[in-house]
Amino acid sequence: MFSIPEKTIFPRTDAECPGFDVVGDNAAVDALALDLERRGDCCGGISQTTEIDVVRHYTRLSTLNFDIDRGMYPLGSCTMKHNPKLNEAVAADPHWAFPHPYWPEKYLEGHHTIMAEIERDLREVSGFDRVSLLPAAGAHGELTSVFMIKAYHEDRGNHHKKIVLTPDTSHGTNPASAAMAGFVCKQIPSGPDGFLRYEDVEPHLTDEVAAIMVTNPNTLGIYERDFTRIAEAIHALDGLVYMDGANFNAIMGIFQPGKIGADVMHWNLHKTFTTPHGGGGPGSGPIGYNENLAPYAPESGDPRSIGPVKAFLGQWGMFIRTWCYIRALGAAGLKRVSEEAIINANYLRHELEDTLHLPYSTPTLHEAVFTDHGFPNGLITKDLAKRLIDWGFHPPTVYFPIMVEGAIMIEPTETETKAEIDRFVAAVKAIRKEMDEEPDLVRGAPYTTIVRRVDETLAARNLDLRHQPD
Amino acid sequence: MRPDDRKYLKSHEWVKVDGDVAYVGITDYAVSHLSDLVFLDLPDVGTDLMANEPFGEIESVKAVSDLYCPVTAEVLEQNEELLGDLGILGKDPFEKGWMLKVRLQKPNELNDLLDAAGYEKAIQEDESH
Amino acid sequence: MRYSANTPTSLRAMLDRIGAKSVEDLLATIPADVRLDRELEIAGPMPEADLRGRLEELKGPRPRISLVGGGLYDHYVPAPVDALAGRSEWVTSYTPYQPELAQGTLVMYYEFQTYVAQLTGQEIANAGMYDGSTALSEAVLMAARVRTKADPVVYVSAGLHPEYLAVLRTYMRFVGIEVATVALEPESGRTAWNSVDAASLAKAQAIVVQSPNFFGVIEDAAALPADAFKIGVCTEALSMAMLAPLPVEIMVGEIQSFGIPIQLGGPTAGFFATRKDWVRKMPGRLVGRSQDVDGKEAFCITLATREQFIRREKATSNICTSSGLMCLRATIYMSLLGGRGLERLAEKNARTARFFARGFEEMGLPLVHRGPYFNEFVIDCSAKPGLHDALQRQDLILGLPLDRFHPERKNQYLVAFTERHHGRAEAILQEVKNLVQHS
Repeated sequence: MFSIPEKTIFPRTDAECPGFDVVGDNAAVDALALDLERRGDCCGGISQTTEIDVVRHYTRLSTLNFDIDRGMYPLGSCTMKHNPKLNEAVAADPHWAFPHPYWPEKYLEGHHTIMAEIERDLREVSGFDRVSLLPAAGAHGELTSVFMIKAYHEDRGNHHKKIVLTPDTSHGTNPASAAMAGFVCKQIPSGPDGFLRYEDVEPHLTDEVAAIMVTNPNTLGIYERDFTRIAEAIHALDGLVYMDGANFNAIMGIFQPGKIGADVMHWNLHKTFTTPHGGGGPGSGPIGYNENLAPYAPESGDPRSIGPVKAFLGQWGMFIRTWCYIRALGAAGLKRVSEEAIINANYLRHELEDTLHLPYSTPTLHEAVFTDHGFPNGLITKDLAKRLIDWGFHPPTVYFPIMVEGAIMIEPTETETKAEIDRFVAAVKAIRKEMDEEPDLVRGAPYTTIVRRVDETLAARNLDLRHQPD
Repeated sequence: MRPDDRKYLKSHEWVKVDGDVAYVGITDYAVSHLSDLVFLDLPDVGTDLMANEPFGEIESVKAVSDLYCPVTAEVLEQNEELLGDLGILGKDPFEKGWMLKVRLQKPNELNDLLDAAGYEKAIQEDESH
Repeated sequence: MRYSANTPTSLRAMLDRIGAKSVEDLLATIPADVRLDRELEIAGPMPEADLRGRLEELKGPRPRISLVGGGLYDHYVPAPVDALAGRSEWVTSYTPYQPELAQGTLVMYYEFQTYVAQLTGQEIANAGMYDGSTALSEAVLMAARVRTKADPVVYVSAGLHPEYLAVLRTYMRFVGIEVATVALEPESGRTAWNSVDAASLAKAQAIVVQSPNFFGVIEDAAALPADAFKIGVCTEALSMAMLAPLPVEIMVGEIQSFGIPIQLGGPTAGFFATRKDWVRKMPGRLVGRSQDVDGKEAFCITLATREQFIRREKATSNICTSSGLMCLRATIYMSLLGGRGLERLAEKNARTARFFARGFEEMGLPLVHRGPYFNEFVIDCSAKPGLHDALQRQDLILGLPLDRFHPERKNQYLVAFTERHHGRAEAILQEVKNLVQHS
């Protein structure tokens, strides 16, 4: 598709342009003197232009993005699925979007009903006793959880419990969150079949272990076979089990983490529950937790509470979208989401098994991880990713999980048709053929985008993080 | 063969004694594995470094590596020229590419380090894995 | 199922191709004793029309006029912001890890970083945080990385938003940084920095000052402890369009005022600005200008080595998904108004507040603090204790009752004014006056 090359808005400073008039005149008000010291530099030089110019600028910029509405966006672990239009329409309704959290309760009853309903539904789908809607995003939900874990141990005098175990398949946010709560992280290699084996955890089971953080199904798409056994062993040490719910999309109606050993878990409403990713947020990261952690939760009102992790009530705009999604599907629909996500991913895996190297033969659920092992002519994962762009697809997640060299992590989600998956598979196969026949063509990709491969080294060496007026 | 006038760590740092001071840097092998270097973070002058503990970081676009100090020492000087041009590491990691000038606190520690031949062997073992 | 992409036939075809009898074959790795042995109990499915009908039923009353601020401000959202930010190319795209397919988002972040740096008077800014409260907590954590030898205490002005303070206490508790508050001078409502000895402030990890503070008072920049590591906070971004930037080492805050609906306080977006020298200590995402292989201007995420997906437990923050779409709204808003438009709007806000301040004082509802204010201040309603409730019966909310956070501030109300109150200022004031006279 053709795109108009659009630069940044700088420097547009039309001296005669007044800017969008949000406010008119009122003589009685405007005549009042302003007794304030002024900066007097036009907000440091923020550009000045016309409405039509702004409309064209951001419209043209938008066309330089790839988005789900345009095509398959199979980022593994990110769950890029269709964002229903209904959710956007409802969330934008001023009745829902404008209220202030400090308004008297009588104006917020509808909001609180909706929040109570999704809390209840999240409890049901996860099996946890309680839910906190407050955290702002998935990583923030993790942070809230590890704060609660820390508070639990402090309360019980477990001051020696300083270690948090994470498997090498974990998201980087897990160790980063644990470190922010003052824990020391210990990474455990997953076993030869791509899941965390009890025997590999056992040597680390000392009295110093405060918790383990496990994604289940893990980032290879594999169910953590020893999850329950590991959880029991951790609990025997008065440790706690945090489950990363990034892959919750695969398990709705299939198993309930809160009933099989997890003490606390976060959701990404922007993954499983279709709230939009928005080019990097906003997310929403509610947590589910069991009764043993209840006193420490942000909203417990107990003196042992960790306190709030965010001002106000949480990401309301995401709650109402989630409510719409859950109600649109109901219990049976949510289960089918997971089942169909698993069928799609297994189909895709099956169709590509002969084309790309599969490092683990263990059955997978909602995603599949391949590698660039065996690519000819020195070509690597990055080349496949960039060439897929020319074939009309967003690349999968690459080089993650970090313990898989040259990882290519594909998650089609339930909202891709078989036909679209077939086109994707055909594109990968065609590129694999190009790798043999025209390696330089692949190495130079992409060709069809507004810019080609971007020099990230230059960006890091010569930092240019803002426009500087001349 | 790498210079024999100094000692090495398996984690690819070297230390070269020069009178009552010493220089610390990283080997050509390390540099070849750190493509597209963008940043080097070194400790301030006066900092006390512990043997085998991280003393700084070297950063490429997609990775960060800890730098380990071969010896217990006090930092006397940073190589300002290197901080201004990391390209020096690619050209001359053993002489112009030194990172820190330090004062050794426990000279005996040098005996525990690898010589050039030992380091060579360590890399080969590493590669064969 | 709604939103399902495949028909029973295509699902069957895929299962056949895999060689699975049913989806159960694909779940074989999940042990039987782990499986949920019943159906979920969740209401639905509901067709779209019924669903919207249910939402209509849930709608309750709305106030006609709200003078509530306190960290979230009722500013007008221009139609172009909704129209542009609602485009699916922005809404349904991911974090721009593949720069060739995300130049739109990347350019926008670069513009956002520029605007925030310009507004705050700082050298650089990041691509946004969840909100103002978490941005502040991250700022103190950054101060701890910059000043490794400082005393583990942060001195916080009592003028800081109480919810920000509570969040800060949560974040500090487990990293062992003490949170100490510094009282306000009761009359001016400004922070009494001289109530703490200067050496302690200078040795502390940081000091935190909000301006305008929670009570609406603009802090005195000249009174800030010169030798301390200063973190500035602003919850009403529009004030920055008019007032001189605070002389601080890190400036953070909330940008909701710029084109983001209040929506109960989330999602909004935080901003984070500081000096270039400390860029590697900063949390959050950064976008830089670079070139592509053909030498063409191109943008990409940079210094990702600070972030959790590379540095893991040593990352500058655990933040991943942030608040991109809200940053987009703020960026469009700032572009639309421009520097002059923002300044003019800020003036109108400040004048509206002065109009009401005079009117309230004439009614016997004096301002509690004498320090300068922008568009928000505290009034003392002791003379008319029933006024707030009486107005509420008419769906006019007279600000935030401060005893919610500060029990000693009984009958004090924090009132905020924006352009929404500018055009009908006389009428609103008259409504209040009528009730005051009849109560």
